Amino acid sequence: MKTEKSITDFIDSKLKIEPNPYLTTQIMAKLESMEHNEPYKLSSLQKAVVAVSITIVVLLGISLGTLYNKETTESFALNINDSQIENLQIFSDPIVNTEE
Amino acid sequence: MTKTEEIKYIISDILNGEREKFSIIVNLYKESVFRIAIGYMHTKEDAEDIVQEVFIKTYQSLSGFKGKSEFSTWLYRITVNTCLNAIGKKQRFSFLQKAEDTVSRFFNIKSDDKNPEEKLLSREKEKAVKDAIDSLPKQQRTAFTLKRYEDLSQQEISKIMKISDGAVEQLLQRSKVNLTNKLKKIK
Repeated sequence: MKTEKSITDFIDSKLKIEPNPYLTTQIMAKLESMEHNEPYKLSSLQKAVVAVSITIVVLLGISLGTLYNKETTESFALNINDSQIENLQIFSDPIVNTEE
Repeated sequence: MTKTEEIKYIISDILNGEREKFSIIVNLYKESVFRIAIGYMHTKEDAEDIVQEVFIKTYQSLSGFKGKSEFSTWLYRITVNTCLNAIGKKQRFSFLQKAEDTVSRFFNIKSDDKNPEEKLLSREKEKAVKDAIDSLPKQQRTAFTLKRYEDLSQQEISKIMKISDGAVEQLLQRSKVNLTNKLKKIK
């Protein structure tokens, strides 16, 4: 009996709560705003145009990417040897100096 | 003109463009929907959110109402489903709710000047009842809420839940036994 009373008391306390008197106005306002902000729907022709545009952009991207991968410059080797750039032997070796 | 016929005329007017007439339906049923919603959600704010969601869903699917059942049955079914969905979502964030409850309880206890022990006991008892109702299986909870909060007959509940009258009776009996077992420990 005690538990039944606890449940009844709990339910009674909840049933005493009254909803906001402006609830109807809020709901109607929400419905109105929803109707005004309905998402823009694309027609089937517009959808097709969008799909074709995306395809063109993707194909263009692929072809540009392929072009970029082609080697446009000749490969060459660079020999960096400091001893050849500034050959100190020229200045130090007397045989070399007297050659002239 | 009976209420059912009146509702049918209002619905056909709404579907023919007189949208403002939907406020008549809202005014007729908002309190019933609110009572069911508070049975599930327990707080005014959550129940009001449910009421708004229910009426928006109802408006959006009004053309789908064929009049085979009572409008109220259809509306209450939407309410029950919306509440059960909201509870499911809420349970995913239950750890946040528990933290919030603990904090609010702590501050409420501190601010009570009169009989803090009694207040604490009553709050604990209320929480135990709330938890016991929340722990009921979905169907038992629906039957219990529709019966105790909206005082619907078993026949009406059976139409809303799409089950037999006998099944409703069983659900109500089981919910009573379950609640009694869970609340035995309360002083």
